Order: sequence, then structure tokens, then C-alpha cells
Amino acid sequence: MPTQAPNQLPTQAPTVPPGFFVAALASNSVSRCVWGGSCVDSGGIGFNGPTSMTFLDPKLYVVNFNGNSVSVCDWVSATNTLSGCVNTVVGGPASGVAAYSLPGGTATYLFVSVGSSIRRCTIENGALSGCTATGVTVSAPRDMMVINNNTIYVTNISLIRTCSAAP
Amino acid sequence: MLGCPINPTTGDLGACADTQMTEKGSGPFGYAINGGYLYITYFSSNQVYKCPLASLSTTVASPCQLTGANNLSGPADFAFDDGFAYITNFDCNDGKAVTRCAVNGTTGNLGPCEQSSTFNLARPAGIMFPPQA
Repeated sequence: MPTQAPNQLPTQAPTVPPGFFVAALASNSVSRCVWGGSCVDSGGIGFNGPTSMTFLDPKLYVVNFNGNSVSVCDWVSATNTLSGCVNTVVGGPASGVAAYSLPGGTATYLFVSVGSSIRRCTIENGALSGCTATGVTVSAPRDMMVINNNTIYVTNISLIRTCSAAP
Repeated sequence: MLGCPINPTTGDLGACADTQMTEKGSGPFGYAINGGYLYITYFSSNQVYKCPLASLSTTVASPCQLTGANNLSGPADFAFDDGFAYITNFDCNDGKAVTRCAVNGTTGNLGPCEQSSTFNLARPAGIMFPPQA
């Protein structure tokens, strides 16, 4: 039976502070919110109409509808905050994002819906490069997700709308 | 909602096809996977549908059903965590940026749902829980 030295605590995995991230288009912010509490700034900067996000630990990728760009931010697990955001221009209003790795992990891509098309960027060491058109066009693309590791699904709805509760 | 095949060798996208899911509600916005279901928010009709993942097809209409989620105001994106669905309300600008619904582990339905009261965010869209360390 294993023994434990007196006063020696068992090793525990570090705990991530509570909260989830919310991208608010009209607030130009990504906030960290705790249910039952409030939202605080995530620490990331440079957002311009952020709409959608995806994690590829340790990076958070945020698409900016008004900024025509993707923000690549470092996620700091110890504080559950963002830092060191770098923007990559993608040439149009960006609305959805999904990450995909080739089988075997030989390459990782970030698909981004831009305007009425889908572009693909290469991810190397977390950074984006070579964002080029895939040839796929979609009317008002919005959310994207890779399912079964072989198909990307895209919803389509215009983010440009008016309503009584609009800010 | 469209489905576009990914070439597993090159990462290129092939021709997209309609999944025949979008006729269920009005204004499909965001979606997420949890417990064998694909959940889809419908912004314009204030609804959330669930569709069995196994039925996902670009050629056959999926048997999607309403989840029962309420207290929504222009539902946008999802995040699931610890038995709850968190849904952003794109129309809210008064602290009610997020609705939290309990997930029925048997049926996949959502409810009861309650809105946040202090999340003062304008046009909340994307929502994401961080990875667990």
C-alpha cells in the first residue's frame, strides 16, 4: 500500500478560475462572465465587432465582423484571461470560425466565413498565415463547425439587422 | 444549414449541400453538439431545436425537434458545461445577455431556463468555455 509522507499534499491539477468568454459585437469586447456574478474584460484588446470564437489551446481565435479580421489571443489558464492578441486581416466581414486538423496532424487550418465566402488560413505555432479563398460561397454565412472530422457545417443568417432592442 | 465536405488529404472544401435542417425555424444562427444531439438556435423565431447527430445528412431531412428552451431573446450561440446550456441573446442589451438552461440528460431537452441579469453586453454573439487545465 503506498504511503504518503506527513504534511505532503497530493499533487493536484491547476484549477482554471471560473467563467466563460462572450464576444459582444456592439460592445467591441470579449468578456469573461461568471454565472450568478458579472462580466469583466477578458484582457484581450483590438476587437472590432467580435462575433464568433474557437479555442485551440493555448490560443483563442476571435473573428471580427466589423474589423474584417481574426484576433489570435493567448489564453492564460492560471487567470482565465486573454493577452497578446494579434490581428490578421481576412479581407471582409468575418462572422464564423472553425478549426480543422488533417488526419495525422500534418497541418491545421482555420476556416473563416468572410462576406459571402469561406476562406482558409494555415495555423503554424498558433499564428495565422496564407488566408485564401476556398472557392465556396455561402449567402450570409454565420456559424461554422467541423463535425465527424470530415464536413464543415455552416448556418446562414445576416448579422446586419435592426430590431427594437438593438443597441 | 449547409454541409461542405473536407478533403482529408488537402484540407480543401468540396461542393456544399443543404442539410435540410433550416426549414424548422426561422433564422438559423448558431449551433453546438452535446450528448448526441446537434442543437441549433433560430434567431428570428426565438427557438432552439435538437437534431440527432446520427441523422445528420445532406440528402435527407433530419428529425429535429423543439427543445422547450425559453426565456430567449434572439438566441445566437451555445456553450455547454456541467449539465447546462448557455445561450447568448443577440437582441438583449439590458443585462440579459445569456440564458442558461438545464439539459435533460435523457431527452436532450432544455429547461428550465433563466436569463442573466447583470451581463451588460451589447449584441452578445459567440460564447465559449475555456479548456479545463
